[in-house]
Amino acid sequence: MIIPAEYAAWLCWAIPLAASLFVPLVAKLRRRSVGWYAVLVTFASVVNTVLLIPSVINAHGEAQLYSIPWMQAVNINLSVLVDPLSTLMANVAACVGLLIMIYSVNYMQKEKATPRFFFFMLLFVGGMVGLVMANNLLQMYMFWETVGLCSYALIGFWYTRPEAAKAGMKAFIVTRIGDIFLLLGILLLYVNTGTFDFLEIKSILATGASSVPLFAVATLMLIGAIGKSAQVPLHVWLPDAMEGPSPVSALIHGATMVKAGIYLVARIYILFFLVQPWLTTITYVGGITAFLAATMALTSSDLKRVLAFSTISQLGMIMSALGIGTEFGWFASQFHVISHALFKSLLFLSAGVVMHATHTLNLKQLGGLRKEMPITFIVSIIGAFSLAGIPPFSGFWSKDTIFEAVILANNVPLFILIFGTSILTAIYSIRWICLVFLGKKSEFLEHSYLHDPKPTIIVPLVLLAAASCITGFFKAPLEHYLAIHFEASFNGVVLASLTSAIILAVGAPTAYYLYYKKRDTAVVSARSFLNNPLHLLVSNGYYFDAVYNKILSGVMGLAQGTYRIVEMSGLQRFPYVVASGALRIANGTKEYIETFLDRFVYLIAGGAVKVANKTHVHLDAFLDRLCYILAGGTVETARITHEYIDSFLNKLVYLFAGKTVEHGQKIKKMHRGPLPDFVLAAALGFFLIIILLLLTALR
Amino acid sequence: MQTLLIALMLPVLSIPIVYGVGKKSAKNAALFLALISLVSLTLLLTLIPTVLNEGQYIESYYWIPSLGSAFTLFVDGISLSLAIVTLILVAACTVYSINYMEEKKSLPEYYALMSLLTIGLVGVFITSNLLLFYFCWELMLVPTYFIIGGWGYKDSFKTAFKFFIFTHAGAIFVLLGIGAIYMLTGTLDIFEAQAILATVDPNVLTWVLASFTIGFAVKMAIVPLHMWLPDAHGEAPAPMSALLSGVIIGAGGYAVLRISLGTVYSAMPAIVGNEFLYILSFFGVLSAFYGSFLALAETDIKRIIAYSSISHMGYILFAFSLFPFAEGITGGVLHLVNHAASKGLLFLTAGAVMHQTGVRDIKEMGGLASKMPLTAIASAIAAFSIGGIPPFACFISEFHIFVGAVTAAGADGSYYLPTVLMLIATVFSLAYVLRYFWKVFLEAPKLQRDDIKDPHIFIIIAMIALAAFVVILGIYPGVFIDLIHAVTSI
Repeated sequence: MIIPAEYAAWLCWAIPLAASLFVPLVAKLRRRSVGWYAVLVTFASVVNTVLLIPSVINAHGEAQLYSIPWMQAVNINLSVLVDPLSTLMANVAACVGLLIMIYSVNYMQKEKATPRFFFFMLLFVGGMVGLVMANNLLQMYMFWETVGLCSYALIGFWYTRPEAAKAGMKAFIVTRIGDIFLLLGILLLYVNTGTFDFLEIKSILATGASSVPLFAVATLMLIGAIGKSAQVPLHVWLPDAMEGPSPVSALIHGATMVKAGIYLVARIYILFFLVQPWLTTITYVGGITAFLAATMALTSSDLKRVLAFSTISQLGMIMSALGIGTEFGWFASQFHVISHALFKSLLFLSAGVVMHATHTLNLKQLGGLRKEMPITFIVSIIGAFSLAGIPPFSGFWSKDTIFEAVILANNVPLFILIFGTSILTAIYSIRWICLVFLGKKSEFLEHSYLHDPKPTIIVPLVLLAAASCITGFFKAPLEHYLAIHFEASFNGVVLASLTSAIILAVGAPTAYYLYYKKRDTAVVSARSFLNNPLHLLVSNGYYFDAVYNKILSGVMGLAQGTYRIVEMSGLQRFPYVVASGALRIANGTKEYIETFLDRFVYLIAGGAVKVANKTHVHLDAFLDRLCYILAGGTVETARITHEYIDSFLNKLVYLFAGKTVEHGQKIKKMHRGPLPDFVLAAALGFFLIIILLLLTALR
Repeated sequence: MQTLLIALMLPVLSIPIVYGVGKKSAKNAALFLALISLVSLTLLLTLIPTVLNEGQYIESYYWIPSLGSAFTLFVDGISLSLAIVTLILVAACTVYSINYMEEKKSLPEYYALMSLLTIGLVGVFITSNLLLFYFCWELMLVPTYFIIGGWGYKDSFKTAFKFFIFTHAGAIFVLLGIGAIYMLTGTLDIFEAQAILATVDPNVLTWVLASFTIGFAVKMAIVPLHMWLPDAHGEAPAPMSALLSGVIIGAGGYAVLRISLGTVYSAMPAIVGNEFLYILSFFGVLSAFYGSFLALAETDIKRIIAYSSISHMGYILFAFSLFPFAEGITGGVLHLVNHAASKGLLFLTAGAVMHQTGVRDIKEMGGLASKMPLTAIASAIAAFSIGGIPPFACFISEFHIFVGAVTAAGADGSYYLPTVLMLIATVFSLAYVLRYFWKVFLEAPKLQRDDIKDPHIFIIIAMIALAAFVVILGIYPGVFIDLIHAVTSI
């Protein structure tokens, strides 16, 4: 083993995912190599998926689980499951993907946006393989949505065409509607079992003691599958998805993404197969879808739309096989999945070749390509015969197995539905071949130069055709691989074969007659048939699209109405209403408040002035008098003390002076002469100094 | 180690430097501010191991002792996650502004205001003190007012005024609540308050709860209190719109969780019942639908994204109404993180489109994917993330919300209806996202001009950085989930 299973199980999807991020880089380096880079990466993925097969066979149907930590805080890990079913789908996705990638290199050569194309193609391959390998339901859901994103981007690849862009959005929204149901189912499962891990859920449910509401969860998940696999009533996105390039139609809408829903139902089958109402639902959804879509394929005149309706129809058949409820039915469904992947992608790729050569998709303008595009013709015949269920191609064997399963289960209503569907399938597939390749060339193609395409385009077609030839004979190895063992039932085989024979006997000649032999008159009678109400009903898709478009316009109208009435006229005016109300209150009360305040101010001011005046007068008078009183008192006191002090001092002075004069006269009488005068003066002076000293000392 | 303090103070201290540098070269100011944000971011990242091991990290400083108010900086897993994404977004928006605001005037003031805004944005998340929280809550408003008014589009000052008054009115309710809590408990720390509130009469607490929630709902733009948002987001310059839509309204959601639910509601005894949660759930679903409907009907590129923000705030409120189921709360907080990154990126790309083409009505756009491929890719990543498509960020958080919703519905059957309605709302989310992307980038071009090309290098750098962040979060939400779950699983 070159790469052990525990690595291959991760690499088979991690490589394309990681490699897609480098597409812009490769494109910058060498633009022309982007396609081959994608082929190389897909080849690496194929190597890994193929290397898983031996380990699956050795495990005899036991599942192997590998996991790595992811969001530990919430106990969710990335885990992959290697068991027959997952490896089968991974191989289908990777191998068919490889062939389609090779085809795309040349087919998309003339496009300007090849990097974008291959980025999303690689992302898709990684996402699809990751989806089927996932054990953790959250992981699976992430890849589920991621392939939806790729589908949107690739359908709308030529986004400058409004129809293409709208088809992409329509696909995304319709599948999202289905996805929310799926999410609710996964969450209910989680809440009741405590885990997202598929194997753990399986063991919990096997104990029979869980509180999971089985029918509710199973139906919710079924609705998700209905959306993704384009079953009625969520099938409306698939016909419009034909706006995308043919490789996209082949890979995503023929071989792989639409099988994701089938894969999911097949996977959870083991959990819910005892819930009979669920199985009945699946049966009828599948059966009715198969029948209705087959009728729509019959009335379509678009090269690829016929194939789209055919896909819806065949998926319905596969779904209904799952609904039979037996292991044989489950096996039949997986057998037909392989078969269908091969012949449908083959048919889509041939449609692409035809489109490139003739530049038209209108079946009425095609025809007579057989001579000039022989190889294309041969491979397309193989594909169409496989679809119609003509032996020895794989479609015959797988459809036969489905019939066997239905008959063994004695499911009469389903038998009737599938029987009718198969007759119609035979008719429309032969019709397709007749209208495209047989007959005379139409006027439209009169002057076109038609030829078989280049090897890189034709080789994948040839390989797919070869696979369609031989796969039918691998029923027994498939049984062994899926670790399913049956008792062959002779009755079943005989009745099934009889059924197939009747179908072909009825369908093939009818188609041949209508569309080849009587082609011209068929066109004429079709025109009168066109106004038939039944034809109108069918060609308008049973008005599903019309109803959904009405609902969509209703929703947009509601959005517009809410915007205009509630938001713009109502709520957005609220702040202005409040603001203008506040302003009005402010203005209105402004006068009152202003006059009130004015008056109040004047009142207070005036009162204050009056009080001030009055007190001014009184205060003045009082203060004046006080001053005068004080002043007068002071003056009086001063005068009186002045008088007393004066008189006292006078007397004192005169006393001293008199005494001095007396003494002087006395002295004068005693002595005459200058010396006595001098002595007298000195004694007088000395006496005065003593008095002065005494006076100063008294201070 | 004062990690939180430094992380908070760096933008404060850088205001004058940014202004000064800006006077010479606006580009250098922007780069400096971006550098500061990244330094703060690094500081916060160093706290991750501590928070994962111990659950939280607290730094306490003295502030106003008389009010018993400690300047407490606190982070747990939730706060840290939000603060980290805030700083990443600030750095991206600042780098983006280098080219986006090139032709405008007064750029030094602009960058200084951004710096001021950063403080408010980060501070709201990293504190447990209600006063500091309120301070930062209001601080977010002032620079926003000036940025919208000064560098915004139509009727910019009127719009900014409306924004300011409306959200300020809401903030009054918050202030009432804070005041009530102080009166009832005597403390402004949410953890201490929670313990004491358990002893308060539930009837009184109901009013406190109502007051808080109304205030936060205004900030979160929950219908019918959302009127300020479309104009504010629409007329603000693109980097400001990104911050508004990513962080500011996210702060409202955070506050609902931390204060309304975490502090007040959880202190109310179990007999109070779930009516409050049902009310939150109702308004969450209402906003989710209302926002998506209006996004489907709008034709102005930025208003579409604005209504989308209202819708996503509805998702977050719904997630928080699943309290106390861990997955629901984890999903809600993770959605706050993822939405901030994705919506920020979406606004930045819309701004790039407006900047390069000069038109804002999607009826006049189209065919830009071929002319502006890098912008188209970044816009696709952002738009698909908002639409909830794996492998982008918002898918993981929406998934967690739904896990929590179904878990809650299992325990309490009345959650089934809102859960189913929210699942239906995701279809509408996808619808408006696809419509937006088609009308702007894919449709046949209405503008016949040859000079439209991808914007200049700094805008590209900012967009690529955020786009990478969105994609990585979508595949490996690792550290954020660990951080958040460490808190919610208690």
